[in-house]
Amino acid sequence: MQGRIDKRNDSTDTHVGVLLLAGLLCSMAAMVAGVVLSLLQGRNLPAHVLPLTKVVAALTAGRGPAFVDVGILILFATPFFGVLAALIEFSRQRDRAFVTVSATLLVVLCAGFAVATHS
Amino acid sequence: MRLGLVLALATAPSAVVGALLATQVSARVLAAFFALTLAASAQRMLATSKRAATETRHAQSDRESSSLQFRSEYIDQASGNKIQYAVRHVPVGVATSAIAGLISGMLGVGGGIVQVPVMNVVMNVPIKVATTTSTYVIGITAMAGAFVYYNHRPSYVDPALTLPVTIGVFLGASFGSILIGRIRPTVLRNLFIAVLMVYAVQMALRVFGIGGG
Repeated sequence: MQGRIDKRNDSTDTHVGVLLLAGLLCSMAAMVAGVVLSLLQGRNLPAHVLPLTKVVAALTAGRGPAFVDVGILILFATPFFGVLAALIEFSRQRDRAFVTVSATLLVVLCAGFAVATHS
Repeated sequence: MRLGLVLALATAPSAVVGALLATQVSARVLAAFFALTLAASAQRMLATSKRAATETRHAQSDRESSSLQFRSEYIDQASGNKIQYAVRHVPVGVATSAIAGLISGMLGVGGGIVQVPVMNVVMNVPIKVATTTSTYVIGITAMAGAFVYYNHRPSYVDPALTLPVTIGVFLGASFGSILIGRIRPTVLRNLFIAVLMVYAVQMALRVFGIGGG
């Protein structure tokens, strides 16, 4: 095989993998807490999540279903932070090509979020 | 992960478009689209089974892949062999990933049903690397489309379903990640083709109102 195989991939993969796993576990913890709180408060989980603008207010009011919504939002946001972690790793490695790729991807994800919230 | 990030550049925006379209298109049309895509993916993988069975890979990158360092290797635990490979035909992979993202956004499924066959058959990526890379891309793609479903009023995200599904997927994925090291590539590939066929039939039945909406 021509050329060398870049071993730096391994450390980047490990760091991003740990972050993705941490995000998933935090998300599940928030959802479990939400379900337990809802049971204790005698609330049924609603059929739909709260609008983003109402989640914080419901959370500060200590409503169980809001914790489930936060868990779902953490789950959705985790890949974004995974790409951000990759960007930081590539920056440390001075890998310009993949700094550009991961930064562009973050911009695309932010644009997608903006489109989703205004559609 | 490098390959996954490049493919995600195509899947993420198309997933948003797909999710926006999904709110306007009927479930039967989506099921028909899904069934055809799955059948085509299965057919393509079956057609190249003989070549892939040897898990022989091109050792040299093409021009685009060389510039992005798409060469790697892994030890296949099942055979004990060191598998070296060089990704090829990146532009084709990116274009197909855009379609995978669209499907993912429209159907709420991972675009892996399209991406795994393309990576394996067209891009010279070993099946084990294709499935794991696809898993990484799916997370990013799903996130891009998921906010459209979250923000739709009424929202398409059901909180009561999310926790059991997340726990189930977490346990299944954890078990799968252990299993993938021990399973032979040909077995994994055949398993993937079988799953594609089962889902294709299931979706085709839904088009005719059998087996759910």
